[in-house]
Amino acid sequence: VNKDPDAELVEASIKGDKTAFGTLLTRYERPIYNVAMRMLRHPEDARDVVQTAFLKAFEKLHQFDFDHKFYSWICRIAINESIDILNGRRRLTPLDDEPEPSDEGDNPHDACRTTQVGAGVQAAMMRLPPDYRAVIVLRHFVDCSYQEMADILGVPEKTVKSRLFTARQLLRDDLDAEGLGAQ
Amino acid sequence: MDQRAIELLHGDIDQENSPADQRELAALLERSPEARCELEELRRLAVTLRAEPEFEPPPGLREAILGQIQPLAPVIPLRPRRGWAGAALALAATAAGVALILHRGPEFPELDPSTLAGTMVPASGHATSPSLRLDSAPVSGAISLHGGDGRYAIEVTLDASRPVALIATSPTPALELEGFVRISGEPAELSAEDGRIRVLHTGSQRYALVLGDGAGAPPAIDFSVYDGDQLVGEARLRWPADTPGRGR
Repeated sequence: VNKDPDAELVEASIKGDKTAFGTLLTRYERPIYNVAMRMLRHPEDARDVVQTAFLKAFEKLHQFDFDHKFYSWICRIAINESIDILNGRRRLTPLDDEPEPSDEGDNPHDACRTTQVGAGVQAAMMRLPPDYRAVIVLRHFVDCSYQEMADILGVPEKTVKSRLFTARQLLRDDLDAEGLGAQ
Repeated sequence: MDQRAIELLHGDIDQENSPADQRELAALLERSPEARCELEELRRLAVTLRAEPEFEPPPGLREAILGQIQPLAPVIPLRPRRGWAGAALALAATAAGVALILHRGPEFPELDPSTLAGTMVPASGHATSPSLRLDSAPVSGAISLHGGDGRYAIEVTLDASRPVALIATSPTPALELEGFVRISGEPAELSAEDGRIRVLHTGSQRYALVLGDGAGAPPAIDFSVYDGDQLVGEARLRWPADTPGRGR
């Protein structure tokens, strides 16, 4: 039984209903942008990820497996696109030289950078390896269950838990080292 | 702290513990100051992360995406001729037909894989290969196309270490699914709908899908293999092999 509330919209989109796809886009533009921002900490790259993810999803809609949720699928595309960008960065820049977020004039709501803890948390997130960062993003910012994360990342639930527990430890150690341990 | 204790503590933070887990955790917290301290730190971390404000997508992004979307090509009319129930009843009758298709002489020549357009490659590699073999965990095997006289058989031999789904779609109009024949291995689970055939694989299987082409148009068939929702391989087979390879 298909319980995905998006299934009807996906079916309509496959039949060429652009409005239906527009509804999916409206529903998930923001969460997917947030996933990309948490992964990349770079507004331009995050924008590209959202764009690429939705365009890829639309192109491949006829291959969509209705046993899965559309949100998990688009999330997975966004995470993989983000990791591709991070891997590209790694090839081009030294590991300890992660790009700083640009001063994105058209994103006035990024007020989180204004606080020391907020900036510290984001910096610590960026120091996590991408696979670990992905589980923190999915759990703490997208509210995914272990099973949903396993689905999105294409790994067993056991691996998700192992990565999540390690990621939290790394994050805590990092914040402690920066004097920003959870208050 | 042992692994079980760590699982219980994180499970509490993630609201993944069962009632029995929660009782076990309560007992653990009762006797272990270290566990209480660890749980408190995990809660603080969760609160710190939750306090992070959301990012606002840049204005105009939605419109920019919608502006780039082209209407999809018409849904591929690769459709079950009799509906799935009918096709199931027709399996025995079709078996003889497929045997003919697979083994008859010049009327149904077997394709030389090296002449086919398209290749089966791991999706992440985007490399082309002269063969139609798929060798990308958790699945390996081959797909070939036999045909002639407006009827075609897709022969699939796949070995999957865990369940994978093979999805066939086609841009060729008027292709119809006429039958499905298991040659060896476990029975495959097949579903067909307009434009799409999906076969769920487990273990080692060899089977043939029989397609009829009412319009006489040479078929092109796209195959995608999914492990869960992860694409692990895709390819296009074209009959006849009259155009350069376009493996993805």
